[in-house]
Amino acid sequence: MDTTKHQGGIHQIIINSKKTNKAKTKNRLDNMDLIIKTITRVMFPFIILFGAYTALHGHLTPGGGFPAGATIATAFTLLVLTFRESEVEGRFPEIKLIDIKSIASIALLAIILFEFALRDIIIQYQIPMTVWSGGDTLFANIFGSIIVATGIIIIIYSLIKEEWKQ
Amino acid sequence: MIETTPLIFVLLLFIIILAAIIAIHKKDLLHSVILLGIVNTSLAAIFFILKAPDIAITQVAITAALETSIFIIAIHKTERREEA
Repeated sequence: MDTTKHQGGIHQIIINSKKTNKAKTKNRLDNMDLIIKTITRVMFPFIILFGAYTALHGHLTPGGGFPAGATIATAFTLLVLTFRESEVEGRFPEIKLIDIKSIASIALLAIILFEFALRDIIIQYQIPMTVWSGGDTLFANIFGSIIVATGIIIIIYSLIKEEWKQ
Repeated sequence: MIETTPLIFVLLLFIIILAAIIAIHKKDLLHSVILLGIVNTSLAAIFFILKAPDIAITQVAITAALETSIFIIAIHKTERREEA
């Protein structure tokens, strides 16, 4: 039996396996595991729901605009990190995100500027200790969370897009 | 506060210190990032025990989730292993 050939064969297999491992680790952000994809698909709506709860109940329970926006952005970050370019492309166009951010910013500015006029009108129709209470705080929380969420999504998305281009 | 310090509070502080020290000494940066996630989550639990739940929510959302993902992207762009 020729042992040199056999040893050479094993050596070649080890080299080949090292090469494939290197190739796998290089594209690990593009090719995520099935477990991660499935868990992302299941968890995504619940994270969004928690973010929406934090924004809408910000004036009654702990939370507010910033934590809510960060939570919603976390859900989208998970989605963008897990799925490939072809699966995410077209669903979050950057221009649309900037448009949403601009509209929410103008709305927040309008609420802050006209608070003195709006407060008396809104409070007349509100019921204390319910979601529909707290004057303008509810609207400020909603628009604040939209601004924070879109801002963080734009940052993460632009970072990932560079990765996809390479 | 010192007289009625719960055991879990001390345990979380111990976990934070231990995870931070291991994170400094690890050569694989991805492991360090995961350990930093443990540090931040434990810190959020401490905030919750100290009756600041809004800070705890922000801590979890920003540091444990977003910071970790940004670190992972940065590691993927550069080198995973630190030079000895």
